[in-house]
Amino acid sequence: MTAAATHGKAGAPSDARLYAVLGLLLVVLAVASLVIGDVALSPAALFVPPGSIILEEIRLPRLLLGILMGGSLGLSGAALQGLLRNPLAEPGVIGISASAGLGAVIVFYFGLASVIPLVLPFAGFAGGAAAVALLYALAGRGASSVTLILAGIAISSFASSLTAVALNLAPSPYAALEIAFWLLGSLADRSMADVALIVAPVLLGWVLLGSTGRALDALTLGDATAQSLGVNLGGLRLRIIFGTALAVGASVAVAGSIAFVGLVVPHLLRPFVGHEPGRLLWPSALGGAALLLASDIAARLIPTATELRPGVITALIGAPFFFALVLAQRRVQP
Amino acid sequence: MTLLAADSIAVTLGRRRVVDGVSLELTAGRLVGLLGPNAAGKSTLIRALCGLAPLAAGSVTLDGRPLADWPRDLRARRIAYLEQGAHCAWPIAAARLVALGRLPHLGAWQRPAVEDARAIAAALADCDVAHLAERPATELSGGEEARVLLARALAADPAVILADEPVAQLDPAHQLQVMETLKRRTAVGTAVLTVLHELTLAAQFCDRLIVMDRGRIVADGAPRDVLTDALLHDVYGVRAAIGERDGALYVLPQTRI
Repeated sequence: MTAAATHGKAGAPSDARLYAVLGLLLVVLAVASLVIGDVALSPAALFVPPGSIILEEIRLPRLLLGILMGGSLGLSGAALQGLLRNPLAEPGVIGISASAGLGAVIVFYFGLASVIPLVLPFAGFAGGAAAVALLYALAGRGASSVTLILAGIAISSFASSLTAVALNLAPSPYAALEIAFWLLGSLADRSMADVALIVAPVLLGWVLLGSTGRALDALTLGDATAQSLGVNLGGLRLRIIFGTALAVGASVAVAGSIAFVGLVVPHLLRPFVGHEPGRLLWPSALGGAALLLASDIAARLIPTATELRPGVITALIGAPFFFALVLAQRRVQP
Repeated sequence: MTLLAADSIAVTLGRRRVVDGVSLELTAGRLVGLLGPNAAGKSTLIRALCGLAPLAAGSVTLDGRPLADWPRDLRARRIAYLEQGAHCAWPIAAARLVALGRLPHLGAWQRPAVEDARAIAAALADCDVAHLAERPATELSGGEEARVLLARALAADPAVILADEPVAQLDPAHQLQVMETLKRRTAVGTAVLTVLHELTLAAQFCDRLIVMDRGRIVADGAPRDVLTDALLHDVYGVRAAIGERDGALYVLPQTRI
C-alpha cells in the first residue's frame, strides 16, 4: 500500500482521499450499527414504531457512544504518540483507561452516580488526568520506550489493584458484579442521557487534542527544536493531558475501558499521512470510531450465549498487534 | 547592523554556572565561529541566545528589543536554531522535515502558500538535498541528515542562524559544502554563529572567531589574531602547527601538553 496523499499547488500534501475513504467507512458502519442487532431492522423500518423506539432507546445511543469513544481513543492515541515520540503510547497501554476506570469505580462503589449529577464523567476525567500527569512525571519527554511502558504498567497496575480493592470490599455481590461487567467495556444498554452526559467533555477534549497538530509536527525534531520553532511546550503538554483526560476519561466513565483502539489505529493510518504526527490526528479519530463500531457490530454478530463485549474484541485484536509492535521496536533498538 | 546581542549573560545548570558574563554582538552578513574545548559552555550559550536556556543574569536583545518580549512565532521567524545531533522521530519525507522550518510563518489556521513551497525548494537546493526530498528522514545517512536539518533551518529565511556543530560527523567534502552554504547565507545579510571544532575550517570560512573556555569568552577577533600558539596551549591544551598555504591559514594539532 502506498501513501494516499496527493500534492497540492503549494507542495503541501492533501489527505482529502484518506478522509473520504474513512468517512465513507464510518457512514457504512454507522448504518450497519443501526440495522444489525437482536431485531434485524431494514433502514426504512427505523423510522416507524417499533423500529423507531429501538433506534431511539437502544441503537442510536450505542452508535453515538461508539463514535464519541472510538474517536476519543484514536485521537488521543495519535496525540500521545506524537507528544512522547513513541508509537507504543496509548491511553490503555499507559494506564489512562485503567485510572479513569478507577475513578468511575469509586463513584459506583459509594453509589454517588445517582446522588450527584455529572459526577461519573468528572470522576473519569479526574482519574485520567491524574494518570497522564503521573505518567509525564515518571516518563516525560523523549523517555525511552522501556521507561514509558514501565511507567504505564506501574500506573495501570496501581489503578487495577485499587479497583480490585473496591471489588473485594464491595457492599454486595451484586455491586461487585455490576462493577466487573462495567469494567469489561460495553456500548450496550446505554441511553441518550449517557450520551448527553459526555458529549460536552468529549468534544472539548477533541478540540484541545485537534489543535496540537502543528506543534506535534515540530516535536518530530525534539523539544529544543520545537521550542525554537515557536512551540509553547508547556501549553502543548497541558492541552494533550487535559484533552486526553476529558475525552477518554468521560468515555471510559460511561462505557468502561476499551483497550488498544488508540494504539492500533494511529499505527495503521500513519503510512497514509506520510508518518506526520499532525496529519495523523483527525484520520485517527475517524479510524478509531470506525474500529470501535466494527467491534461493536462484530460483538452482536458473533453467536455466543451472552453477547461479547466490544472491549473484549478490541483487546483480542490489539494484544497480538502490540506484541508485534514491541518486537519491531526491539529490532530497531536492540 | 547588530541583529542579536548578549549583554553579560549568565546561565546556571543545576548549581554550575555554565555561561558566565558573556557579551557579544552578531551583525548582519557575518559568519562567526564559536570555538572552545568540550564543556566550555558553547551549546548552552547558543541556546541562551535563542531563548531556550533561562538567563541567571544579563539580557539578550534581538533587533534591539529584549528577546523575552518577542512573541514566540515572531522570534522563531528571526532566529533559526540548529540543534546538535537532532534526530527525527518519525520516517517523514525529507522535504516535509524541511517544511517544518516554515511553521513560524504560518498563522494558526493558515495553509502553506506558494511562497512557503518556494522557500522549501530553495533550501533543499541550497543544501544539495533536492534529490532526497521524498526519502524518509530516518533512512538518511549521517551526512544527508545533517544537510537536510540545515535546509530546515534555512527554509525559515531567518535573519540569524545559530548552528551547533553543523559539520560534526561529516566527511571533508560535506564539511566544506555546509560551510559554503552558511557563507552564502551571510552574503544576503544573514548573521551566522556556528559552533565548530574544526579549527582549520573555522579559519578558512569565518569572518570572526569567538573562543570560550569555562563559561567565559577568552578571545574574540579575526581568525589570524585568535588562533595563536598561546591560545591553543592555554585553552585546548595542545601544541599545534599553525601555518599558511596558498593564502589560507591552517591549524594542525600535534601533541597534548
